[in-house]
Amino acid sequence: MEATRQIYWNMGHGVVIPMYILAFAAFGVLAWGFWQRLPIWRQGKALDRFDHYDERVKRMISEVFGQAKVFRVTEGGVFHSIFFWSFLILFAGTMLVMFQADFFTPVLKVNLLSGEFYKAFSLVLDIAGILAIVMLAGLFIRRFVTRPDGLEIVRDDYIVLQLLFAILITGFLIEGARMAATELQQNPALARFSPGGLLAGQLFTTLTPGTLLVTHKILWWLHFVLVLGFFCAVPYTKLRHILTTSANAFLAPFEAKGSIATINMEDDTVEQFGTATISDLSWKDIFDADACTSCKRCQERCPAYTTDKPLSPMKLIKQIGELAEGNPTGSLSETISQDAIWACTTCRACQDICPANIEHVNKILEMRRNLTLMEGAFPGDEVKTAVNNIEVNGNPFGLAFAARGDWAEGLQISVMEQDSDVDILYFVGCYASFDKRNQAIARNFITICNAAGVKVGILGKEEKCCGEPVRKLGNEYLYQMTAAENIELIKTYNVRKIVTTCPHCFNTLARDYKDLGLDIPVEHYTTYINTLLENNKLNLTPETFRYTYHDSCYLGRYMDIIEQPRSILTRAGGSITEMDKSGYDSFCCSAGGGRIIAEEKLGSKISEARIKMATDTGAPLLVSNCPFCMTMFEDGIKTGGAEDVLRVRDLAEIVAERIVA
Amino acid sequence: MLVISCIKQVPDTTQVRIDPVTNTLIREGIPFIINPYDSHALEESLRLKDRYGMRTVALSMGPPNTVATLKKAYAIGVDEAILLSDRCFGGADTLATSKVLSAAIERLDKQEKVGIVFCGKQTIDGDTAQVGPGIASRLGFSQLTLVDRIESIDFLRKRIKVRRKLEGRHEIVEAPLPVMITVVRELNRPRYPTVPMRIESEEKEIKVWDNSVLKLDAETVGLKGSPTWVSKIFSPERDQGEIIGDGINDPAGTANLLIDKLLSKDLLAV
Repeated sequence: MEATRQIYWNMGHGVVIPMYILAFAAFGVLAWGFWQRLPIWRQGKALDRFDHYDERVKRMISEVFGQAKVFRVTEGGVFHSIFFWSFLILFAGTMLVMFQADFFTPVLKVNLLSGEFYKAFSLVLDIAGILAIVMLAGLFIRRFVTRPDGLEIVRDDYIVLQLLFAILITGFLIEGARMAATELQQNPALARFSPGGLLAGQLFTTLTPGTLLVTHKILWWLHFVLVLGFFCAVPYTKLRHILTTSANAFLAPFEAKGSIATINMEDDTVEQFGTATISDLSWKDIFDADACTSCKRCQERCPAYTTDKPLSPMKLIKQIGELAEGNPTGSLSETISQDAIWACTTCRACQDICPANIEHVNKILEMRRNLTLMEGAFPGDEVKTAVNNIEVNGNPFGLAFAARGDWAEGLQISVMEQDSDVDILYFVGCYASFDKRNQAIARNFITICNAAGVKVGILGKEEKCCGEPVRKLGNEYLYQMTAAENIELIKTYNVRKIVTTCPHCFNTLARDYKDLGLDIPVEHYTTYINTLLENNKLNLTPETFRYTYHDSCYLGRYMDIIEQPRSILTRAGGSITEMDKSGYDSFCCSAGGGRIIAEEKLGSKISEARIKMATDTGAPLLVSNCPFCMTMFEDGIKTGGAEDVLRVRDLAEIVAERIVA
Repeated sequence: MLVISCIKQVPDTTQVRIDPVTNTLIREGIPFIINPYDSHALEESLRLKDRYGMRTVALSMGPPNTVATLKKAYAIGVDEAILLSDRCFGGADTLATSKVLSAAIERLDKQEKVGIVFCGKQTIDGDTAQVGPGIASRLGFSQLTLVDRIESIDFLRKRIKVRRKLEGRHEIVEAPLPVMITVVRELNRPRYPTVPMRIESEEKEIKVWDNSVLKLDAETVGLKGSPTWVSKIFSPERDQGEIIGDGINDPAGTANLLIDKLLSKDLLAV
């Protein structure tokens, strides 16, 4: 007997027309639902996210079908991805049945669903169905029983989970009823290829043939109506993410990570800087709210949220969505609260982990721009003072700008003003220039360069703050002012390469300054030293030590420099014990986003939380690569009472000690 | 009614060092700022503008580069900024300075009655605290110094009530308008210029009044009109005390040294 099955068995071809009419009606509801969202998204400003078309399509296909971003977090992610693939197989299988019934058979007169292929088809679909039910059960238990911290239960969760359950169960019941009437009696050998149906079929063995046929019919229609319900529910429940989140994989930005729109301050027609209300956002910013599935991954990685500050990146996205829908002229900063907006360290952990490609950080920056540029607001008076200091003295401390190069006294170093024929320009930055602890990093870096025969120049008193902290606090005006002065100055010298010890200067000079006309290669000292080592320009005598390593946000997540520093430290004789959060999952020190010049008044201290993670490794040494992190950790070690168990040192200090003379 | 704030551009004296050889201020590498107390005077004039719609004028006597500071006054919202600048005004002491400022205020008073003149309690470079009182005396205005709060203004009775911040106490006083008020830092928190205001301020003109406008006797202003003159500026030698330990590299050890020292001199009870 040939292995196949009769499509529309017991239903007859009479159902085809009403079935298609209803199906199209359901698609109509789906389309109508999204059509109604259009004016909400359109409240935002224009933004081109349809360039790089082919690459965008490729990225979307790979992210949606590969599920890599979802899978990155095992908890929840595994259930979702396996469920997704299983459901996708079921959907594809159903499509194949549709084509077979209404195209291959009547038009092409071939039956694909027969023989060995049918057996495989049947087995794969049944396994997919069983897997989908198991995964759904997992998701159900996670949502309603184990319920991890921060996971909310909303109306959609009941609807979606129950609907999917019902669809899968009724699917197996129809199959079981059909098999009870057909295969189980006529071709039991074939039934083995439908394990789910075989199991479900046992329920119907006691029914009389007549009752069985009626039951099957009822189940068929029930299953069909549920599926229609599923399509109708897409735009009105979290199921919308099937389309919106997928679309976001297409719409995600193509610019370098951390790119910020440079405002044209000369443009007289601009009346609003930053975003005050919904209409100041881009349409994509509003769309992001529809792409959010409340998976809370952003929130549980947010250094502000996890230390009890009033910021949740997830809530912020939701609030934008609620305003866009209900109160588009409402104030964003009042709805979200200034405290929440100022709490962000721009560490990018939220954006990096977001499986929906939501862009949290720039939204916050734009809100800060509005607060700073339009309202002259600050997170605190100490910030106002520091910002004024940057404007007046070119550094947040308010120290004399003429003393900026004093740290280099007695070192083998050129001040560009006097001798600009150098291999690299070392852009020192405010902290390494003025802060006692961080001056050691600068001096060690010079020691390293000297040993490698690299001639280093500095700008000395001509250098000014790169503008990063003020830019991240929204003060684009002051940023561009100080940046323009630096750029103009650097351009007067024949600079071949710029090296920084500060990841914030690094990001700003390498990426942000490009928009303002500086196009000179910029490198962070970690990769620069690594290259010196690889080219044998620099040799180290390894000396064993145990350490844990902190990936600063602006080096790791922003610039993908994760391996090189570890490789240097390995050469130096270090053996690493990684912290709970490292690499792309690293946890901010608290100083990003301009927070370095702000006091941490709300919640608990982020630096102490990070120091706790470091001491938990048991390693006696924490190695950092950023003057801001260094400052926060020196502080966190003291206030967190870890002075006896942990020291923090910069990578440059470790390297400088081990140089082969 | 006009509200005037007198502001001075000063070197950021937290940075100022004195050249030990020439006994003059080392100006190189020292940025100019608005005298911090004056920024509170300016802010208070703007608050009165916000509340009562009074017109505000910022006045400054100084060299031509003072326009930078007056631009900032525009950027936070004054209606008019006037620079009093003339070669013959240079080198003035407090007496001569108050003369020029008073002349300018009188000139403004002819167009619109001046109600309040705000000054910082003193400048951070001169520290005399005399210019404000000098203006009040010359113009015959009420003189309220060290004000940390405006309690009320009665425009009908032309009276103002303020709180003065004195050592260990406050004093609430009332005086008739017009009034000269010198302010302390506690009075308010100066605002930060918004970008639209900054951009707007770029186009605003700063009026410069020289002596051809004020028509003062050149002998009574500037260096010539100044009875005080500085004979010497110097950093006082430290004749007592010593630096112990290394607080930067060994804070704990240094603290112990200090405690030992205090104990040895019987200054610390155990």
